[in-house]
Amino acid sequence: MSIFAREITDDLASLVKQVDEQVGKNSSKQMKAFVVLLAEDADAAAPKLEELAKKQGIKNVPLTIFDGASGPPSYKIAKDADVTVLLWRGQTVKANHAFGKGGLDKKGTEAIIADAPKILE
Amino acid sequence: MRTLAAWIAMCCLGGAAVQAGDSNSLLDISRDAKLLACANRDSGTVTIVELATHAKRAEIAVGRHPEGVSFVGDSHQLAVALYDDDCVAILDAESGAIVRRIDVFDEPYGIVSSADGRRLFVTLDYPGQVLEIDPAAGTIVRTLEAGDFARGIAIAPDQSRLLVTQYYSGEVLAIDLPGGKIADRWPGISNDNLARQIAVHPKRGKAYLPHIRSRVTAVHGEGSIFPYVSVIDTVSKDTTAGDGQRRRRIPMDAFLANLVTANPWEAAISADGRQFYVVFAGTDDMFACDVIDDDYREIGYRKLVRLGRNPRAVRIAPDGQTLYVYNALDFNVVAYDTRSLTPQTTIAVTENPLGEEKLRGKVLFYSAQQPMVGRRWISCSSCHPDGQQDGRTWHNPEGLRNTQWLAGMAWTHPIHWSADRDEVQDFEHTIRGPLMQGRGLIRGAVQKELGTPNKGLSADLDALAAYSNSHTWPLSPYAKQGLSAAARRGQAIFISAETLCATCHSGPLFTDSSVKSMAMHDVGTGADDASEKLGPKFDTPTLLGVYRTAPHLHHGQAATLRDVLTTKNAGDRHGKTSHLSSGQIDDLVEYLKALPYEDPQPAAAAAGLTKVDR
Repeated sequence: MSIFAREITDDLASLVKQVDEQVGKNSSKQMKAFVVLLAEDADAAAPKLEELAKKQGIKNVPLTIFDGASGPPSYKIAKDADVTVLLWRGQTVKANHAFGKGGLDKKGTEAIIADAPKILE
Repeated sequence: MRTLAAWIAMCCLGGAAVQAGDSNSLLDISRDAKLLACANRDSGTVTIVELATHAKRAEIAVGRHPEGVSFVGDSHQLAVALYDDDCVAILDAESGAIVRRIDVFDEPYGIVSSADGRRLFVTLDYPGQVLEIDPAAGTIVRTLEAGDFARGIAIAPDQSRLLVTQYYSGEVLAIDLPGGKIADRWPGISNDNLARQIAVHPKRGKAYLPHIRSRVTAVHGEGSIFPYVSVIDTVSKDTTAGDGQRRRRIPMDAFLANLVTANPWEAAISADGRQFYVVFAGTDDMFACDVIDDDYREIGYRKLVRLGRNPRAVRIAPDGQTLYVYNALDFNVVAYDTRSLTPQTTIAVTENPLGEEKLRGKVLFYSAQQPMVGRRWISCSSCHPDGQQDGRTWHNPEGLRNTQWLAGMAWTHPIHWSADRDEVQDFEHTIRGPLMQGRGLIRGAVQKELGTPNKGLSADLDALAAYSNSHTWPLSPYAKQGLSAAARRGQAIFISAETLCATCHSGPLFTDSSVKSMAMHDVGTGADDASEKLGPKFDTPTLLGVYRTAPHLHHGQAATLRDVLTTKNAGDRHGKTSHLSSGQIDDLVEYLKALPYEDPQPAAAAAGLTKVDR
């Protein structure tokens, strides 16, 4: 599962925590996930990610930063998407979710977690 | 999203096509598309090429280190910024004659012309100014303050303002031309660096600057240097807009999967605003891109083009059909068809002025490829571009290290603040080490630093040394008319037995250290940095050229020379200065800024000091 985010919010933190738990539970089924914060100033963003990891006790999901707000060109992250979640199995995207600014909420997080079984081996 | 009103304004004000001399470059094309001019930095010449035949018409000797060339309006006159001659030369491209020279304070770098040819604008790298010049009269009309180390310059399509890049920070300043004041700013982030050029879009209200990132905290240089193109929105005034709204960084290492390119040098935009090109002087390649009018991605990958050695300039013909790339270390300009991106013609613009050994050394110095570098992201020149410093203090494994200027290095061995190298050939360890991860230049065993010489073990490594040792000091701009009265007073303080400055900063090179007799001193700075592994003693650095190398001291913690002498000299351990009055400190600083006020090499030779040629 790839999570691209432009801003760290409480809802994003909650999503990452729940995904982290899912990865922990499903390690035997090869579930993996990573978070990519899209930031113009990676150095300034790094402490915020570290704080998120510490506060939420993230153990299984690498938190990374992409240096540039528009993200890796090949992923074609939508301009208005604050949070983009791609669920992969092999080379195939099994589900994707995109949320505009302030759009990620409890319901959205539940929908993402509900899709997690689609990428389990 | 840009407003409709802003678009209408842009169409009215900025609808003009890109024209000759509107952004700084080593190449320019005349407005009538008949001539191309190429500034040959190493040869000290400008070459004129007839574009109809791609024939070299003339090569004109202009002076030391031409760093920018621009046709003057729609004429066939040329203006050339001569970095080390401190002047702007006006040439007649038809006759090859130098019409006049206009002396400037120091280091003219980028040069552009107004559309009507009545004004030239030139950046002075040091001390960070823009000069407005009347080319017909040969006079400086105005001196505009432009921050620190101003290099890149572009004139807006509506001629209302200039965009100027700060070399060591990547910040872009807009200078309002009627008022001559800074009207807007687009700061980079803390690790943006080496922004030497900027190109304006003819219609979109955007400007594009290639630069690198110097992330000084990266362990062993892992990820420390990366290539970028930053795009600034010159229309939006909303400084509170979100991340990347007024200024967006596009990482060039992630532009084509994970292919790393190194040392972006120049960019160009076609007159119709649809094509964008950026050349990489470290990996010898170029991204050909389409401009995307989305205020988001900005540019889209079209093709990677392999170029010649050390490409430093790119220009597009007004019809958009042909682009020209200057391969600085092949001494040629190659014309490409912009649709197929295949080379059409190679034009030899100058001869190799360096000699074969120094040319080989310079190629290696600029190369971000094997055998110098394993992962294509760095070259020697990434931190020492043209032998200068990168303005950064790196968190090296041995402690904080302020990058040093290579000027005069032939005379000032040993090398590094900790004198841990006594020959350039010792950098074989750096080439093979975690920083560069290259295969290296020596076949077989490498000798330890400071031990049995590595000199003589590799012709390539000796060539790298010959080039690295070839950088010389320019004379200080503060002493063109000799030492000022204040500098003379400062000189007396400097050499006095009371201050003891000249005890360590002694002789014609202002250092008591040499390869024959390394001199390390504890000047009270070794305890400032908890990460220091080799201190507290450091090699005595030369003071020649210290006027342009701030920040100072090995850890870069002295922002100014005054700080070195006052706040960073607690306990008078770095010479005795605490008793000096504020005026005396000022005088001492004036003296230091005037170094060198004469060529130190004859005196150094007369004193029997050692010059290391390779």
